[in-house]
Amino acid sequence: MPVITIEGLTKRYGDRAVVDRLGFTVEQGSLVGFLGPNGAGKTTTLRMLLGLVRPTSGRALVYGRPYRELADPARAVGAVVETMTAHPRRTARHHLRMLGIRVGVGARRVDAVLGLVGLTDAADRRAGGFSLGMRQRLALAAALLGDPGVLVLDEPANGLDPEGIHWLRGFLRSQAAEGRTVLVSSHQLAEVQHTVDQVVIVAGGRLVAAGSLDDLRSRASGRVHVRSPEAERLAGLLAAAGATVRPAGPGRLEAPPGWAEHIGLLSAEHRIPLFELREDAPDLEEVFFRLTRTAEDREPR
Amino acid sequence: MIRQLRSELYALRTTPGPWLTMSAVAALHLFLVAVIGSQGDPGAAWHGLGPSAGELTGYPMLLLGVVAAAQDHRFRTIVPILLTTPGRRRVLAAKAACVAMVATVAASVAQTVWLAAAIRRHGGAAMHTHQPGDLLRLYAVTVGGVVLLSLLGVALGAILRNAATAFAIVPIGAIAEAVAPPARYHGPFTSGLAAFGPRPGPGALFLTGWTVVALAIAVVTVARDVTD
Repeated sequence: MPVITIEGLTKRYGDRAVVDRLGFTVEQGSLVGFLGPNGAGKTTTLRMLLGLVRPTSGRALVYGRPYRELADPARAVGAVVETMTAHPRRTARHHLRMLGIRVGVGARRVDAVLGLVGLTDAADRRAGGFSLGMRQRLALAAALLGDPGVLVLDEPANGLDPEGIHWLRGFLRSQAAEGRTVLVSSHQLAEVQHTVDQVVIVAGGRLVAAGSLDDLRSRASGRVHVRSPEAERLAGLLAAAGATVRPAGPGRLEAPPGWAEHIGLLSAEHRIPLFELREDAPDLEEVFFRLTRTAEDREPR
Repeated sequence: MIRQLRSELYALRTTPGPWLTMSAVAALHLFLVAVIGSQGDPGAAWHGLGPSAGELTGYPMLLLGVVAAAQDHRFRTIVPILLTTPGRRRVLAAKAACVAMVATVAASVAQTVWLAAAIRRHGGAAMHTHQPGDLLRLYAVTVGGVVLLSLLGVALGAILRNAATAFAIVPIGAIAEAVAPPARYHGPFTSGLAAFGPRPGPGALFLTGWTVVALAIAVVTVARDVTD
């Protein structure tokens, strides 16, 4: 059974569908990037999953049940959906103790999570004086209080400096290494592509792609770049072989991906000199933009 | 429910707002007891015990209730609270119970201070110390009225999710009711002014009604989405 199941999930505000019949699943132990441009419906989806926002229709389930029906939700799911969720006049330790009482954990666990996120030295400082990175760590500490098996994080890297982002990547990897299921949203593929192993991409409130990063790479449209003094003759031979080639300047051609070897063989066979034969590496970012742009360009909902 | 209640009490005592409110209430009572003391006439003093302790404690407790319910939205602590306790009505019930407990203690202490001052001036017999039933009724009405006002505050805070708006509505509402005779002592904001004393006026009944209505609305509206 999937840990997280989203089925036909829809949220409408008036006539506008912020999330539109969205569906995907997250399997146990996976580290999933929930991606989409700003306004794609990621935050609303996560809030519906966590029972903070009521869906117009559809279901969002954790371990097969709505979040509100989980017997001890903080021990099942740890979530960060906002950065500053502590009273500014309350210390980090008091904030976590206040939540810990609800979760049913004591001062020892509070100390442990403060250590996990590197806030031990700041534990008795008021949250109002925290930097954005420290607030993010405090929110993560709160999410970890119940030692949950699932982590749901909404744009955790937002506003973090490079050091904070580096720390966050390590943190996410360590959580996944401990067997936790992690669903982390971002509007930038580059931010999570070295961390996650699965992606769910949404745009305009709709699902546009879901699968492994390798699946996504296979959709990347790299081009083969050719430079030859006999480019015109080579283009004719390639066209006869079934490739759609296009000129890219004097003595230059562009061929579809996967044709590099064929072009090498053809040029050797016909004694056509090649000055350059290069295939673009798959550009995930380009695939991401293409997928999300296409979805956003659809007719208005 | 015990966990939620403990957490609410912990939350109240780890922020300065409630301490400042309680300190201000204590200072107000001590000042008025010291300066005014009790009425010169023993009968009037006895009848004034409830209103003095009740009204001067009840309205600050109403504001404390507003703050307790609204500040979770202002500072967004509502998000981790609902993530640990998704049952919105349980969260509201725990908050109401917590504020009611604080109100009970505050009202009891305030009533005792006013009673002690009156006994010192007029003697125990004039203050019905030999009639436990009368004293019990005095305390019950004062504590009950203060608790009702505190619960009205919790309901207002939960409905509005914004303490500043509530702080504006309460005095404006009270003034509007005061200048309209049919609403005076019958509306939600002035019924508390006629709800205390050995023989409370119609305010007690109306305050109970308004509090029940406000809590019922809060129970329904607490299910609203929690967005950014």
